[in-house]
Amino acid sequence: MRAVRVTLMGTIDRYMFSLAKVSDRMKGLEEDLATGRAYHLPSDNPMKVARALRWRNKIGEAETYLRNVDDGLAWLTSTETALASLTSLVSRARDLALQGASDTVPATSRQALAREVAQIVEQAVDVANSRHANRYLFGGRRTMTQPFLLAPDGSAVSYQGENGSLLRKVGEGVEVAINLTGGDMFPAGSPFQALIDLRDALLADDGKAVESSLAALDQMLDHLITLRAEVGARMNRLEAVRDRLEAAKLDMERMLEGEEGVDLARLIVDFRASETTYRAALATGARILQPTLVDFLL
Amino acid sequence: MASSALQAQRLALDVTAHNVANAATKGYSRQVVTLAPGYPQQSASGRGQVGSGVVVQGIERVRDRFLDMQYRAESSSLGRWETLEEALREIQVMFNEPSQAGLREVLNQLWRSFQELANNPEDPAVRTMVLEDGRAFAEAVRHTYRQLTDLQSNVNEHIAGQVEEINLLVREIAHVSGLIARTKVGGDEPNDLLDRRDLLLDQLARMVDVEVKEDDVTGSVFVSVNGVVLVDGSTPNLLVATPGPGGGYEVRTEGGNVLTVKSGSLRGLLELRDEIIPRHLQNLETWVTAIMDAVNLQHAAGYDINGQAGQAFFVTAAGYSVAGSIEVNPALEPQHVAASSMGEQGDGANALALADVKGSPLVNGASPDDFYLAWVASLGIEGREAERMVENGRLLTRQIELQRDDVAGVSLDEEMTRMIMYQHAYNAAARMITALDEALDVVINRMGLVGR
Repeated sequence: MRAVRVTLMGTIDRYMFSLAKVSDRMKGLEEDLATGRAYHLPSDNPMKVARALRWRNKIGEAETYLRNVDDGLAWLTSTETALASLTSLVSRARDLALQGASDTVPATSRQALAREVAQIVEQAVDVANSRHANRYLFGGRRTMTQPFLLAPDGSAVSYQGENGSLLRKVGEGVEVAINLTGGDMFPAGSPFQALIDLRDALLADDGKAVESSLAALDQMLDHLITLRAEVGARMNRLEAVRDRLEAAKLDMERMLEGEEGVDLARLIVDFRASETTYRAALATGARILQPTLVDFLL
Repeated sequence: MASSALQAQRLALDVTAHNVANAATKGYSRQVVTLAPGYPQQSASGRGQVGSGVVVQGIERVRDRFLDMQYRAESSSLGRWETLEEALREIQVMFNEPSQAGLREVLNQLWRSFQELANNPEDPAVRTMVLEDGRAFAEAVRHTYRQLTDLQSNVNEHIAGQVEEINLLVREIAHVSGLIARTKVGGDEPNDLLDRRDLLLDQLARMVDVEVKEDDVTGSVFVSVNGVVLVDGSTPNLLVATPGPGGGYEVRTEGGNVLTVKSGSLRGLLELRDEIIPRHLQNLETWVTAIMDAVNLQHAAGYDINGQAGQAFFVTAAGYSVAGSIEVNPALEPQHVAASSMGEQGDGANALALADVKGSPLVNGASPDDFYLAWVASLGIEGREAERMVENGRLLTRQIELQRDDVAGVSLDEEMTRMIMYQHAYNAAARMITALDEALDVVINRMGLVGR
């Protein structure tokens, strides 16, 4: 091997190159430390960055689905509350019907019972017109119009709503209906007809008619219980979806962390190591750059 | 005889001083004095030839021309990749990925607010939010479009600037080349001018892939780029940048021939302007057009809060590109957002369908999301390749530079050693003169005094 000539420019250049390399590395590690991310531009690792972005998108979707689930659960909770009130109103009416059906009840008492049942009808219509976040619960997709209207003479309740479903998207291709419509609540006959019949029978002091309205009231109670079971089932389903989404989100966050996160402990050790290297390079520089023959000539 | 030695050693010391003075000068090649024994003469006493001292044969620079060629070739390639790398980095910064503030995130926000609208179609605040997020998306797209086109026109201006720089170098190289030829005619080696010329050629090679031919006898250089002669001895042939049909500069000779550039930073700039930036603009256009068309189609299929059929959600200006002019239909008020698929206020089915545009295969069979991710990944790969090539190129040119320095660089130790050598020789020559002086003293002043 031929002897390498040690030239001034060559020495300086070699030294500066190694110094720049060490300080470059330090700069990179510093940026990783400061941002907590291993990649700052797609070119730092195109495949990992693309995968990380995909996880970010998926996490964003899961968050949206979670919001939809919560929204649906809130709606169903309001529905359940309304159905519970209706149930207690109807069973109160049934109690009153039992009292009024007895042969020994005088006409005046029946009038008093009739007034109470009339009250119950009004309350029941109010409950059926309950709103959640300013929207009517039971009007189908016609959420801004009051769905149940009691005729001014109290003779009947009419339904102004429609029977479409309100959907919440809670997964890719998974849409859940969250509402009950007037049609679901009163599948046969006009709304609250059993209560109105009871009131009219009491007013008419007709014991037989009062007794026969009991069957209709029982049927209404049964139907309410079925509806509440249905609402409960939907809530259970949404809660299960929520648990699954949260678990999936956690997994995906871990995957994302794996793609672009940094191992802090290792990073700090690396940083310290490169710092030491940098100091050593500087110290070496101080020694190799100085001596030339010039220093030894007198 | 002794005086020729004094002069030669003095000259050698001067050259050493010149080397030391230029130890840190870029492009400088160390110079060496070639000494030779003088022509011998028949001795006066009849037998034997006596040397006539020392002659300076010349002062030459130490340089390896083959390394220069290698250096220039690598330097051209490095110039090209450096230009590409810098611009690709800039484009990546425009996309601002991976982060929470890129184009992707703005679009995701729009999809999210469509979902929110599906949950709360009656809420005017949510409807307003949908329009705002639509505007934010359109704004982000236009911004990216503008950044890309700005970069493109910057690159274009840069091309014109680089042509000017090339012309400056060409003029100077021709000038120096003329000076070199004149000195050579006088029989001398114009070392420092040659260094100057080689440095200029190195600079030129960074910008274009030059081919250099040197006439050893006259010292003239011929510099050409893929068949187009830029320097012919002392005659410069300048380039002109003329605006083409689209406003992009075309690089031609003064005679009108198009200059083909295969490497160097000029090549990088042309590639950026004509291939890389247009490709990303095209991707942006394809992506945005697909999203806009699908959103508009779905929006028109729905009904607003008053039961009216939906209008266009996004509109563009006629005669402009979609990415450059997309905006939310200015006629849209919050109540006009078509959330419903059948006209009821509480129905959000169409909003849900709008949110589903996100995942539907619109762009060559890929969803907007997938297309975007693939695009960012390919941008990353492109940038990474440029980074690697720059890294390799730097290592290679550095390697050659070090080799060149090995040959031509000034070593102070070496110069100091030579200095001492010449110094000793000079001292000895001076001592010789004293010795001769003493001999003459004997002959002139002391001879014939015997017996006086």
